[in-house]
Amino acid sequence: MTSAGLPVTFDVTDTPGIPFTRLFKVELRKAFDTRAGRWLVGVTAGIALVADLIIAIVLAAKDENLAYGDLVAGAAFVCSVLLPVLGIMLVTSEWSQRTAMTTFSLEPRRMRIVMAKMLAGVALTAFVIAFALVVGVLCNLLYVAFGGSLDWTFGWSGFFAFIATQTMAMLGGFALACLLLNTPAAIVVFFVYKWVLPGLFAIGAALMAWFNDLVDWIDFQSAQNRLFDGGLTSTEWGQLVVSGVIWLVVPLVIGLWRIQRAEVK
Amino acid sequence: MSAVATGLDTLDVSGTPRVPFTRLVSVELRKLADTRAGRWLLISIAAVTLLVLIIQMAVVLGQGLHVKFTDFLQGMNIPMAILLPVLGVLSVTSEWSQRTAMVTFTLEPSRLRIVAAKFVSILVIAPVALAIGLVLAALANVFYGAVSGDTVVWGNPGRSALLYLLLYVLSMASGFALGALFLNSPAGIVFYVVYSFVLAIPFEIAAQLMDWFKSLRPWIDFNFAQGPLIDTTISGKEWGHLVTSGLIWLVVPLLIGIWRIRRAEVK
Repeated sequence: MTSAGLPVTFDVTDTPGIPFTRLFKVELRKAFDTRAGRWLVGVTAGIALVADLIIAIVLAAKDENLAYGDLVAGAAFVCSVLLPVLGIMLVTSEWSQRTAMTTFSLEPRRMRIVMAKMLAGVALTAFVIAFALVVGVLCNLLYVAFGGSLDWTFGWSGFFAFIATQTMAMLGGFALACLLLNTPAAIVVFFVYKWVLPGLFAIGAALMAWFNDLVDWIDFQSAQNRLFDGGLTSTEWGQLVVSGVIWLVVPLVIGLWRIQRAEVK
Repeated sequence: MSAVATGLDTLDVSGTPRVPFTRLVSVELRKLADTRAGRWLLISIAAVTLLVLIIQMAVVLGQGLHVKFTDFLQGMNIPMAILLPVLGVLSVTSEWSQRTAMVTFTLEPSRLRIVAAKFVSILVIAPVALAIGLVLAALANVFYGAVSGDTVVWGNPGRSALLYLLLYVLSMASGFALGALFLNSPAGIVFYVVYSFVLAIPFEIAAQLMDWFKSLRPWIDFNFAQGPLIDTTISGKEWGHLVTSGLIWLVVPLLIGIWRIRRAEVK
């Protein structure tokens, strides 16, 4: 009653919004400063290293040829399995660990958070790619030490395909996570889509002529793999875009809409 | 102060019977189905199985293929093999991720009994899942015979059913073992799917490259060893493959996992 002159409103008009760079940095930190995140990044890097070591040693022992590009592909294979899980957990852990309340209170514009998360995922992908390149160098030298002949053949079209497929793998996980907002469900659906569905598509295509014509347009994995062969025809680009819209853009758009409206508990 | 409450300052539970094991099992069974996650998982398993069989039926009839009962069994096995182990993983890990372990282990401090009850409850789910799968596959086979006019081939359905029961018990138990080993849903699920679907590729490459690995592989690759079970052609040495690889991928993780649950801090 006696509070003479005390402001009854909280004036934040002069307070600047949280800069996007800070959101990005926070989301990047969240990706590996928890036990789950740190182990995931650590295990990914560790298995990639072990896989390349095995490849280098076995092929040297068998007197098989091995080029730098093969080693990078080996490391990439391992990373492409676990990177999407990181993309998934970036989104779903907010809901399963119930940190979404804090996150969205500090920055109520949810889309900025989601964009920051997506960029953090892309940044981690870049980190993993760099890591795969370094591991490839080390294991290539090791291969030589075991008696192989040095071959730095790498293939730039393969490299760009590598970057593209890794990024899309991460984004694919991210999109499914936004769609389902639940860690186990997103992981299961992602692995089914990535590892089980191509086999079923192949069976269907072998059995049915009409499906054989259709499958190239809906099988995102095969469309991406054609990037490794380089020199896509305009039809193949079209197939990449169409299948990408189905598996990447549609789940992402529905997922973003869901995050925008989801109750934060 | 006033000595009215004499004899009541200790709580005498020596005459209280312990929680019967059957009650623990029925509680654990209920836990599998009465949460949103669990219920949806069970519904998805049945729904996806039905969907797979419908697609398979459309392909078979559209192409005029000749199929047998075991072909439909293999069709319905695809979703079952993926989702049943997830149920096994979640039956253990949800206690830790949803933090219900505190309540569970307070009401029954003998943790091994809880673990045993959970294990029995997933073993109960295996025949239920099998029954649903068998009924759907049998309906599919009858429907196929009626529409295509081909002779319906049943093979030896009793033996197939028994082998698939073993398959589902093994896959539920594998999921359970990984759940106990990691006590973390994403880790358990990722490890399971990576092992089941991803590792097959490097294993296959290695088997092509190295003869010694090719002859070793069935003995150590549990997934590979389960192949003859799915084809219902398993015999002789293949049973040995199943046992040794199962020891590596099922028994060892399960034992380590149970040891972990006994000692883990309940938060």
